[in-house]
Amino acid sequence: MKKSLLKNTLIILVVSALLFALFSLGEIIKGSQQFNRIYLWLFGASILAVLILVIIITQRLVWLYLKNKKKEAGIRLTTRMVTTFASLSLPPVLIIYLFSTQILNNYIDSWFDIKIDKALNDSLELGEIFLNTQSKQALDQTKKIASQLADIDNPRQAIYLEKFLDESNATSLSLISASEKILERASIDILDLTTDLPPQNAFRDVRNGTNFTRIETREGSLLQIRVLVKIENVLRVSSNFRYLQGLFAIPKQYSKLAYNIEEAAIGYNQQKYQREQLKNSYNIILALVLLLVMLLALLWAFSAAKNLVAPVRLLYKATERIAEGDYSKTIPVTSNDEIGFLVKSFNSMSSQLAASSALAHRAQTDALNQQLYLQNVLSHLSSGVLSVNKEQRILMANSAALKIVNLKSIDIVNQNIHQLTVKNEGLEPLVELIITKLNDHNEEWQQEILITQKDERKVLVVRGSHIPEQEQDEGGIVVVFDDQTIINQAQRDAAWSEVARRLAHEVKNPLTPIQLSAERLRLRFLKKLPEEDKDVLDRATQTIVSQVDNLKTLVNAFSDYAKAPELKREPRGLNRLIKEAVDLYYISHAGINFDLVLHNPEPTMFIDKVRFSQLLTNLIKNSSESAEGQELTIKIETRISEQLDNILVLRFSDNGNGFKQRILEHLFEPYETTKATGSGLGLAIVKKIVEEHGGNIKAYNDALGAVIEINLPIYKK
Amino acid sequence: MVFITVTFKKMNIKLLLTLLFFSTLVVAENHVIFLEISSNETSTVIKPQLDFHTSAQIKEAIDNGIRINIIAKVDLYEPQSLWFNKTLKKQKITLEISYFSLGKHYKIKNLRTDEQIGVNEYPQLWKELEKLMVFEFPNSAITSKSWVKLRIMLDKGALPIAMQLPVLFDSNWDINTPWHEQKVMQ
Repeated sequence: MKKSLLKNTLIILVVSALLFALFSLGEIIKGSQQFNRIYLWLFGASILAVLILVIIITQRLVWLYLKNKKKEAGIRLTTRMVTTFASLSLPPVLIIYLFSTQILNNYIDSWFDIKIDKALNDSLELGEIFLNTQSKQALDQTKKIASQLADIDNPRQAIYLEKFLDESNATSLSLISASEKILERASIDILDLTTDLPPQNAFRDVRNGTNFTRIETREGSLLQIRVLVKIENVLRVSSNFRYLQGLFAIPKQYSKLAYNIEEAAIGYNQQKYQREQLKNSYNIILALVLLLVMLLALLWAFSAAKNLVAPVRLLYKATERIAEGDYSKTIPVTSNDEIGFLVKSFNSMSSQLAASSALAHRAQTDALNQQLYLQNVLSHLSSGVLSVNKEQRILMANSAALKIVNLKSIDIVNQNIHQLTVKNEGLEPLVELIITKLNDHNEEWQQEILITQKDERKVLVVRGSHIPEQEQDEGGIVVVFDDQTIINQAQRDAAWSEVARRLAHEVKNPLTPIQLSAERLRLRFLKKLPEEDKDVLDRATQTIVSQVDNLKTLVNAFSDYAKAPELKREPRGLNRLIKEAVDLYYISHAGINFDLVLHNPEPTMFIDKVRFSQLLTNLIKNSSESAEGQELTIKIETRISEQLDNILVLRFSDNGNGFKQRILEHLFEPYETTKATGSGLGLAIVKKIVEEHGGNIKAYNDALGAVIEINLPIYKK
Repeated sequence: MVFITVTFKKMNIKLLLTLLFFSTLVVAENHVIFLEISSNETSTVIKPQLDFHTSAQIKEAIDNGIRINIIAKVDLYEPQSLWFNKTLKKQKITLEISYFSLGKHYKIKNLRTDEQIGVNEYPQLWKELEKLMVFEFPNSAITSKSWVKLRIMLDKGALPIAMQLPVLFDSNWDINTPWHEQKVMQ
């Protein structure tokens, strides 16, 4: 601000000085003699001021060029305005300049009129004629006195000099020696003691026989005639001759007139001589004025353009910052005109935008927080949640959903729903259901479906809800599904337990009376019946007893299955239990080979020894029964889980016939067996024991035969 | 730097001034030939002898009524080694040259004393200048080391304003002489 003020003050000073100098130059040329000596200084100062202005303008032009090169904001508008202002102001100034020079030249020419010229020359000639007449009279008188003095001897000439002065019109008479020294002088003014001599050439002319007369000025505007003649040495007393000088004053009134004519003629001649120079001087001053006006116009154009463009440039920059999301910039209002109004409006708009942006930002933050909260909630849900739009694109899927459909490591968001089946064919029922429901536009729905993943089958309870387009642009549905397999299994297990318990209770009680009754019938009537009936009774009662035994065995098995566990868990290793079970079975079943791959050192497990022995026995028994006459090898291995280091994997595999595919799904359910004599409770009890110990079990077939894999937690103190 | 200073000190200042004088003499046509210095009991009188020429343009201007002022400047000084001269006295005479058309002769007027002489012929005019250029210094101001320098110059500031600018750059009007320096007591 201070810099700008200083610069403007400097420019104003320069311009003022220049204007003053130009005005003074004009005045001086008009004839102000007192400023004669400062003319050149003023002219130099004017040139200097113009040069300073030129430098300032050049600096601004360079600035404009550089800014244009950089394509700075508002610079094109500035350039356009400067060009416009300059081109608007220059033509009239140029026209005025041309007309002024023309008029001025004509005006100066008009000073020199032929009539005036002639009149002045005539006046001068008249004056000369008059003065020549006066000179002739003076010469005649001087010559007459000289001839009279020639008749007088030298010593007495001085005596007669006063007398001749009185008789003539001369104001002074002087006798001058041949050596050009004044010998005697007589003057009418006794106080006038001046002894001025004629010029050298006068004596020379007189010596050569030419008389000397000259009109001279004296005491300012008064004129006098100086006459020098030779006094002939008539008496020959001395060899030297003498000169007589006579001064004759022109009467005052004539002197003044002649002097005025002289001055007027000199003045006129001077002006005439300086005519072209005068024109040039005025033209130079006019050119300086033109240059000044042009430079000032340019300067003003720069200043005006800068002032006008400054708020526009600020607006441009502020708009850029708003575009970048910065609403904090406010522009100072420096004027009350339309630009000022525009700036005010912009500031108002900017603050409103800032407020709106803050609100929007807050809303966005809230929405984001809500979204994060929702995502957090969804990620902690055990149910899978999928959102699919009407274009069948998955918009959202929580981690549980990916876990349930076993696509944990795959990003399915923003992909078409069909991508699920590409990645996992077993998901087709789910995909088909979603697409069907997407097209149905049912408000809410629920359906149970079965999906398969490798050898695993899952029951999903899928619930869906339609999202109206009014609520969300893309519409679609939101699907929630749960893995119902475990629940179903648990429900089935509970149902089987109940069945087993009731069966054991309802069936076990009448079995003993039936067996006793059958034995009593046999004992009582076997001996009484004829031979042919005896055999029938014997076989019948034997059958009843045998079947009752079978039923008892079955009922006991059911009873074991249904019995609530009373675990006696303790920390211990599994290897020894496995070896005992194998040894026990190896002894009684010589045709079965065992391949043991046990993890060493064995991890400590927290298990019920008796229940686990039952589990191992059941599994070995199950495997041994799967071989139909072929040589069977049962491989039992233990290892630490690759995924979780606190899980022990117990793997049973054999080279038998493997599990039939149709029962694989319900393998661990009671009464699922392919064997004729099996109760179908062996694997169900195994599963129950595993679950009692916090583990899980799965069964599948590999290339050799059946595989059962049990995951058990390792004991940690 | 030290070398330059020492070299400069060793150089004779008079030699430098002489070189300067001759260098200007080559450029300028007019010059002061000699200063006639004469002394009486109380004062010393200095009269220059000039070789002075002017152009036809100057004659034309005088004939057309333009008054021309010729300035004669005299400095009495003592030279100082490696420093500016010590000026003892200064004098200046301004002579106005004009043409008196009624009398048909040229006038030379000393503007300070109003003393004037008339000259009928133009060439004679410049020779007559010498007569009015008489400088008188008291003997008390003059020492054995005193020098005097004189130059003649045209007073361009006294010319009519319209002529001042053209004359500034016109060589026809460049009649200034260089400084002529001379020891007062030979």
